[in-house]
Amino acid sequence: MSPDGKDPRKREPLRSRLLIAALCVLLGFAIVAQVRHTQEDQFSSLRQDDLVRLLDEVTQRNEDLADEGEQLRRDRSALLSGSDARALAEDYAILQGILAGTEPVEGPGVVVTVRDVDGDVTAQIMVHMLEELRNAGAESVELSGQRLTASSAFEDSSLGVMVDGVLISSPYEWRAIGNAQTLAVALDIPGGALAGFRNVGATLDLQERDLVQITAIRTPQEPRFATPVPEGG
Amino acid sequence: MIAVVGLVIGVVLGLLVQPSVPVELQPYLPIAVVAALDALFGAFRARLEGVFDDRVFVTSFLFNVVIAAFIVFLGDQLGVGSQLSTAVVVVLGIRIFSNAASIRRHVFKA
Repeated sequence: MSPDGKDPRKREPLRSRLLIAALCVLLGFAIVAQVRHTQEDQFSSLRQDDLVRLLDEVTQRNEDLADEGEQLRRDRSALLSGSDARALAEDYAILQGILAGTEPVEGPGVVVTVRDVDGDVTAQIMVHMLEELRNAGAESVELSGQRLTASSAFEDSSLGVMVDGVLISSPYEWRAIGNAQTLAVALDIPGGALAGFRNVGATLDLQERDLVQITAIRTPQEPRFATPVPEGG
Repeated sequence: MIAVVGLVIGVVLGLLVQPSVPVELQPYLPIAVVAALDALFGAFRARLEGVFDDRVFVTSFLFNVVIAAFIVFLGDQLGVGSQLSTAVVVVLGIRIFSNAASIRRHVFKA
């Protein structure tokens, strides 16, 4: 005890000084041990919960990669065998045809007839309708004999609405192929596509059908600017 | 001085012996080391303030280490081990900083 604090060390008995030294030796030893331990193995300092979580993640990742590897191997063998490659290419061509609108298609879907006596329907409302159909999963859409694809465009003109440069007039007939119920529900939501038509005074008729035929096709334009990236490039 | 000498001896000893931490001690050693560091800083501060007491140092050193390890042990049993050891490290860290501030005021008078 040295309340005046002149030189407190002198007043400590040898025993406690040794004890202090021993504790400090122990601390230094423990620090070195812990530091070495931490550097040796990054996982050894983690607790059990963390290790279990880590293991789970690694296992999950492993399974994902194994699945992916399996899938890729299957694709590879399918591509290697010639007949499969041809069938695959044909499937692909059909898919492309549906997407690009070069193939007549049929399937379940909806037919919406819009009667617009006043001619108040604008291109904006048409675009809204098309977007709603696409959002609801429509795979193929036709409007008054015009096939709608990724490159379709609506225009307001003095005579009415033009689709891809062709003037269309009331009654407009939308045909869309997809899950009929999903499409109908999606179109009819408050503030949705059909509400847009009603707002301008058009009358609507929505039919869910088991078979909708879309016979209009488009001739794809040769791309002028885009070319495929060379393989291995 | 004896503390610094002891610390240096301990570090050198550790480097020479290259100890490995026993598995049962692994969760507790880092916390115990931080607790001991806290006691050491507290002792240094007390010495500068002239109120150092060897008995207080020895008991606080041992008590800190044991309590810190016990809290972590308890946390492990309750399933909140990692959170509780974080809490212990935060509290001890704050104490170390405040002790260091006192030491700085004594040493640099600022």
